[in-house]
Amino acid sequence: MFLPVLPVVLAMVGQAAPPGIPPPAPSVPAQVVQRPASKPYNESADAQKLIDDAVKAAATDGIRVLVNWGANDDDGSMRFAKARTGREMSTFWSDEYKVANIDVGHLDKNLDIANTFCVTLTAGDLPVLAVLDATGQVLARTSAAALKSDADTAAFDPAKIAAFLRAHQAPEPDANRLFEEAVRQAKRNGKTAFVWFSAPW
Amino acid sequence: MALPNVAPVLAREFVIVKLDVDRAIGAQAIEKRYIDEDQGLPWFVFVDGDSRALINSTAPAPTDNIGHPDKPEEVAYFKVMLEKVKAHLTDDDIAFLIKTLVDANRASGSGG
Repeated sequence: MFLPVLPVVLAMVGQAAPPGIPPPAPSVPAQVVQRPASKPYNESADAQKLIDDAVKAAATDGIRVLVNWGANDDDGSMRFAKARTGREMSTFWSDEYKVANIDVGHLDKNLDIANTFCVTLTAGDLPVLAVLDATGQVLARTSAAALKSDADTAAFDPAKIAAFLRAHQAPEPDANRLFEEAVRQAKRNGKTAFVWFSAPW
Repeated sequence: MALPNVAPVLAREFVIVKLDVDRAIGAQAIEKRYIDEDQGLPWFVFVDGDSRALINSTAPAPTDNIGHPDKPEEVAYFKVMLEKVKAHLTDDDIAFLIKTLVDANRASGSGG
């Protein structure tokens, strides 16, 4: 109902070759091509708006915000972006956190906003992560160094990332308390409780 | 529901509570108080101040659950739901809400 509950359906449609043009002969094995790295940090985005939108969305779902300060040309930030896509991470992104990726350029962008969250950005120690609650208050901070593998200091340790996220995710809400509160408020104000059952996906 | 122009209109009539059945402890049990069969998600029910169901999003067959009211018959049933409980919403308010819903559906490419 209305935009927040409307499903976003993305259809991936394959295109057939135009008529009259024969398909290429499958004589040469497909080459493994390095795909261009995606850019998780929107370099032209309004950083404060990204954070504000994430806080608003997280408040609606009763979950937390993860502000990820990094840069598209920073090795650590990009390694972290890859580590985030691991299967063991997926529940955090679908259920527990709204993520705001904030571009810090060469430590010369959005520093004023980082300062408001008391986030210290250091070259070679990106990304820096800050967990915010539903009011936008910082609950925890960490940085790349604390999330790296003990065996390979260039690689991120998914277990360490998961442990950090798990430690700071929102507690499971008490549905009965929320429901009773809504019904009480409805009675007090002569209104109706609109009880909406959903899932985080 | 959170759109800046929609939220205040809905707030005239409703206290909105979102229960995530995967995360919120006890949400599934509350849903079962109001519906026996699995309706899919989202599903919603309008409840009065004594916890009595007034109407829910399961429309008569063949429409069924209008958790995402995007087809014309689903939007029409959502209007029925609003009409059923209105105590503070005016006819103009309801017309506005329905138009906003239709516009949002159109913008998202749904809308049957």
